[in-house]
Amino acid sequence: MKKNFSNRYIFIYITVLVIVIALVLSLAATLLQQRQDDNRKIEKMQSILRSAGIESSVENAMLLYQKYVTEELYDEHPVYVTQIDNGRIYIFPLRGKGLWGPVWGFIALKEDMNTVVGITLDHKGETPGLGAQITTAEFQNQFRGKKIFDDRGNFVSITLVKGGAGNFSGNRKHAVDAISGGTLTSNGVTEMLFSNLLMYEPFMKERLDRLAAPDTVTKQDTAEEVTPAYRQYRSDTVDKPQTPSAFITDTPKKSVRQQSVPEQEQQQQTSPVSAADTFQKMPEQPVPQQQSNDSQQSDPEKQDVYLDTAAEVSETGDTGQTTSKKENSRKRRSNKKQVQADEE
Amino acid sequence: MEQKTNYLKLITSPLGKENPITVQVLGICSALAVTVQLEPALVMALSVIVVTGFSGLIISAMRNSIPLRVRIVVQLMVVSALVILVDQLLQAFAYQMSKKLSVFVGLIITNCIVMGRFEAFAMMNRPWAAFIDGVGNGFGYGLILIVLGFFRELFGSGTLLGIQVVPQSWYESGYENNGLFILPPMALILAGIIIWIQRSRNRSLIET
Repeated sequence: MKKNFSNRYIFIYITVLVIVIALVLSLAATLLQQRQDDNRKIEKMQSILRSAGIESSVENAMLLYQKYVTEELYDEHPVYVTQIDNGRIYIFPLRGKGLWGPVWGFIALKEDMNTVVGITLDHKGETPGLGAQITTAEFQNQFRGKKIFDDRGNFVSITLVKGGAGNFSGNRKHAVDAISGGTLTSNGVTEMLFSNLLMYEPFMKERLDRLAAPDTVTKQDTAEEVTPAYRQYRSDTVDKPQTPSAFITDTPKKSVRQQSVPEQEQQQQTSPVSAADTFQKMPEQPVPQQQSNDSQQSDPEKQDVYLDTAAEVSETGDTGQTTSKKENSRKRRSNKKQVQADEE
Repeated sequence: MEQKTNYLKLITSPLGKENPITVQVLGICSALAVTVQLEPALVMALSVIVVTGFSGLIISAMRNSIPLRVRIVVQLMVVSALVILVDQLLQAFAYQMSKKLSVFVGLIITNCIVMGRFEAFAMMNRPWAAFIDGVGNGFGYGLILIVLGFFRELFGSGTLLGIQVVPQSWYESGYENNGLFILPPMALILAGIIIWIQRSRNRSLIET
């Protein structure tokens, strides 16, 4: 048994072994890919439905999702809309950093774009029993009925407060209990809620304006109110990109690339489009220039213009920016499918 | 050199007097990490049983062709391949659980039990015996995991397999979950208690 093997034998042996193992693993990954992607998709649908208060099982999630949820796009970022008996519910995706890895989730707001219907949160690897408590129903139920805007319409988000919501300096309706022993995860969730909802603030204002009769005075008000929170946020985060337009488009993309694609996916991705895209429809192909210039207008000075055009869209009916964006994204999606098919 | 092996003994001895965790003190790291609740402990135990069993089988089948100078590399490659397979299968068929176990499935690769059994057994025994030995050691590891998971979830969260066990009335009359049980040090203390009990009953295990 204790033979002396030559160097050549060792090299050949290891090479063959590596090739065999690589073949086996890539075969397994390819065979299981579809199932794993389905699992992820279904899980995402379930958490979207759950945030809007619809319970679903693995089996019926797909059906319920198709029945209730329609998707819209705001500046390349998805917004999910459900129509249930007592009005529309808008669901916004969230993604941020916990203590050990990414945290993500969905927050559902009522038509007033202020009251929280529900939230679902998930994480990659927070400490079990501590930070991982963000996935429990007890924790998530706290968010129901909380508000993200104060009485004057300023954006305040929702804060997870250490020692209980009672310790919050502001109004209790903007605060929930943080997780004891999970302070860093809690801070991560607070930060995630703030930055993600802030990103969608223009969309919310636009929808509110569309809902109410277009009125010049309120439009002025909202346009002014968008900016202070924005400036505040920009001055708080020095390392973030400096211009607001860059902030809106760049940061989420980066965060998607860096955090939300689990390592497994990166390893076994056989095509550049798959799991990452199921979550967020990121264009791999460059967006038409005109389009992106248009959608990045959230400069404080240009805010008025932006809201004005939004109001016009609402007056002229539903065939405006949003529809064209939708169409574009659909085109892009079908392009991707084409690419995928070609590769196969 | 390869005499008749007692298969039953290969299964039972790792449960007791050759237990990988309490006697050989291997695989402590993952034992701390996945035993906060009972359910992940169960799935982890199952995964380890599969990996130790089949890797023992494969390594033992290859044992006469493996160049001794690179045997650790070969062993690592076989184990890694198996662990990745298990991870992929979990992701495809038990998605929720694979999310709960997260990195720890991947860390089976570095679990000393696996390598320890290769060096001590699979490299010089027949494949079938090595398979049984691997499964037995997986059971031995899993047993401790389940015991730790049981106590840590019961006292740390008041639940078992996610179901509330400690009645609500206890909490109202002042009972509180012991936060220490959720933290990793408690797993070490519990494992220490198990080692203590085991050695006080079986004095031949005490090292002098």
